[in-house]
Amino acid sequence: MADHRPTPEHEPREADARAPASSGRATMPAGRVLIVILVALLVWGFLYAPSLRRASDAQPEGTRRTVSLWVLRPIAAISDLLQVTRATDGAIEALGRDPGAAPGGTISVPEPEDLPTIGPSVSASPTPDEPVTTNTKIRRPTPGDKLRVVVVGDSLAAGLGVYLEREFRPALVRVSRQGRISTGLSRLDYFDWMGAMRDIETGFRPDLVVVMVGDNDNQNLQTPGGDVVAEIGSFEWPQAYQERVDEFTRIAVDGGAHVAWVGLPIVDRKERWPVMQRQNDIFERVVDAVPNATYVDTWDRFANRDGEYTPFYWQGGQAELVRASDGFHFTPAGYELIAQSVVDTLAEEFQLAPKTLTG
Amino acid sequence: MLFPTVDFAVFFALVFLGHWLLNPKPLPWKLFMIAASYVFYAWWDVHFVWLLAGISAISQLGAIAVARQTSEMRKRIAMVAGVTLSLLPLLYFKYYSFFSLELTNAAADLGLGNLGLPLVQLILPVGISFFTFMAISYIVDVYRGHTHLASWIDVFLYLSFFPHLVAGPIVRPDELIPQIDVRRDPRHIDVAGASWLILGGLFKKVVVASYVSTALVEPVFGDPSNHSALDAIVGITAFAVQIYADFSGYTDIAIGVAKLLGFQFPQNFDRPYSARSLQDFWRRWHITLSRWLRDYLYIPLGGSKRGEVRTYVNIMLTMTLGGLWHGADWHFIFWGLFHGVGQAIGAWKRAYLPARPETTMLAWGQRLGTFSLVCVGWVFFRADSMATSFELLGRLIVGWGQPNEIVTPLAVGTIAGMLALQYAPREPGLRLQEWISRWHPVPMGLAGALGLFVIATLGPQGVAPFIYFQF
Repeated sequence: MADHRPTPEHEPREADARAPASSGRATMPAGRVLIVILVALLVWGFLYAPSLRRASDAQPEGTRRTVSLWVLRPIAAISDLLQVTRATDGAIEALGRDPGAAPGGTISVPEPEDLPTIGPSVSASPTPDEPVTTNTKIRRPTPGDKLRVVVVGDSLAAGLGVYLEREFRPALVRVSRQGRISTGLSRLDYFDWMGAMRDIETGFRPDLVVVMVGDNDNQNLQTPGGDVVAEIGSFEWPQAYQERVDEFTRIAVDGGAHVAWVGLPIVDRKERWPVMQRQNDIFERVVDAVPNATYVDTWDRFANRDGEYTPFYWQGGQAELVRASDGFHFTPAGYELIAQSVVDTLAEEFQLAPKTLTG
Repeated sequence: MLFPTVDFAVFFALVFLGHWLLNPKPLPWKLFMIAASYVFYAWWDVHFVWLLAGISAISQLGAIAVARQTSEMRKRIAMVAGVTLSLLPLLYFKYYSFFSLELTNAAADLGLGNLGLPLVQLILPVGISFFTFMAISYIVDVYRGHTHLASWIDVFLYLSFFPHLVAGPIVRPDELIPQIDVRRDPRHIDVAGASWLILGGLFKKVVVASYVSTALVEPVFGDPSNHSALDAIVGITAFAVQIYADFSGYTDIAIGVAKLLGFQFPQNFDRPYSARSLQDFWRRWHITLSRWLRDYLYIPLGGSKRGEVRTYVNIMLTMTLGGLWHGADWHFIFWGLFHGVGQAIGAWKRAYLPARPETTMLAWGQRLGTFSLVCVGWVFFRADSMATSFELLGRLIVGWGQPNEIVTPLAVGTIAGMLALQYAPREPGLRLQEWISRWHPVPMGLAGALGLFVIATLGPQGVAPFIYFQF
């Protein structure tokens, strides 16, 4: 290290010209280091351009996405032309990754061999061959045929899944947590929740699907291929969004599962309330029309007496911090409250057996 | 701005160019680096730029006040006032919410009614714990005569210099301010050493920490009751690997980035999981925090100069406050106390028990014992509550015979590999760096590109913030 004795401020001096001889490493002038940095970044950018372009494509509309795509598209095109994309895709595959995977990632559905051999035939839940018209009980599980619960949705579902799993007895209930951050039902090009739900239905055969999604949905509605179905703010958007919510719910219910749709919670940014409340109206309207589906409200539960946002929850004279500092997500205590709301609703609506719960 | 992002790569290429172009002109160079550092900070949250500037100003005003006093008593008062003022934002943003809530609930429990304390939830400005500690170092070191009163511009750059800004290392004024005041030599940049640190740090953070976090740590800490004893052991050990890979990865990148700009930062990690006692562990883990706690808390408390009992109390108090520094919650406080008690017991043993003959068996027993204790401590550090901590530790007793959910060859191999690296000889890595350092810039850049490609491919989409950002 250089001499660290303080020097007069107005007399800057050149550090001793020194190579870090003690390490034995050769040093390089700054100009040549800049070449190293630029070569590394440009070549990496060229090699990784197809992946970066896919990730940029999936970003929300805005300046950042526009600029990223403006830079990356020509680079990716050259990469394609020179067959570099093919080579890098091969390298990505060799490293155990899917180069064509959606930018939001994929889900990992439990393997079929993990499922009970007796299958859901013992279940009291309806099967696809028996369309339901009214709410039915959730089947009574046994240690050999556990109740299969899957929690799906965005980051809220990821948080909820952890604490919902704790509500169930592991001996009787198997919980698969499938929350994926930054996902939703709008941008299926980023993460295809419809396809994922079908995979979950066929792979995991859930008895209960708990959904918490929608915070990231204030965007254009796009297909998995990237086509825009309805632009955000357009007259068509609410109807098209409702159709997606309906389709998603029916994939689960038609597969034989019960659905608990957890509504979006009140947030600190009031300007977001109209959109979120409209989404909640859609969720509630859809599940009201679908047998074996129910709605769990979180808006009022986490509002104060004046209907305003509060990060605290009062119970028995004690205050508890239930919201994260971003004014949107929850603390563990908050997720526990939602999880309790979910199981209370399940007991009330679908007669969930008390023996399945830890409490 | 996060280090492992395209944003930072572009930012750094531009700053590198500006830094070396302006290097011969001290004032423009300093202004440029301050501006770049504030942009780096504002990229995360522009609202708290004023806080960084405010603490820098308080720090300098405190140091000026100390330097202007002639009597020791007045100097001391000025120092204490400066330190207190520097601490106020940290106390408010980090601890007010926690303590106001705890006091309100305690009063309700005791039947005292509502104390009327405003309950608020505050966003913790990123890096505030780090730059506040550096600000305190500066005032106290001016008071102690360890460093001279620096210029305003030097202090603003010392506290905001972007490589250390958000998660350390905690660089002392006498380590950094003199480097700010000399012109860095543009002819001799240790590019191989810097690249090794940056790429290694990226690999640890983006690949290792992300993998063990998602595949091993989150499932076990999320729902301990659903996991076997072996799962619990793997999950706890995986967190030891995660936090090491995450934090030492960040530090390595920070040191490497600083090196490319011609700065030397102090080492922050030295194979901590090879430690033979808890005291040894804290000489190897987050070294710059350990020495800060020693110099600015333990020694002012009296250190070991005020009798045996007071020494043990000082150790425990220092470590407990160190735990509180990591987070305003009971499980962090307990984690600190756990290490404090452990170190106090170690100090007592060294004072009263005869040293055993040095054997290989003894050394490995001590390493294993220390690592196990550190891992038990990590349970309290990582778990979301004390209850979860005890539930997870309880699995180590009652969880035998259950099926294992997360124990896979990849999981065990990753953990074993990272722990084995704590004992790996340094020579091969140094020889490799020496060899690469003699390459032409173009092949060196190509090798860097390949390294980045592998890291980006093996890593997950997006990168979670570093664990230590929240402290």
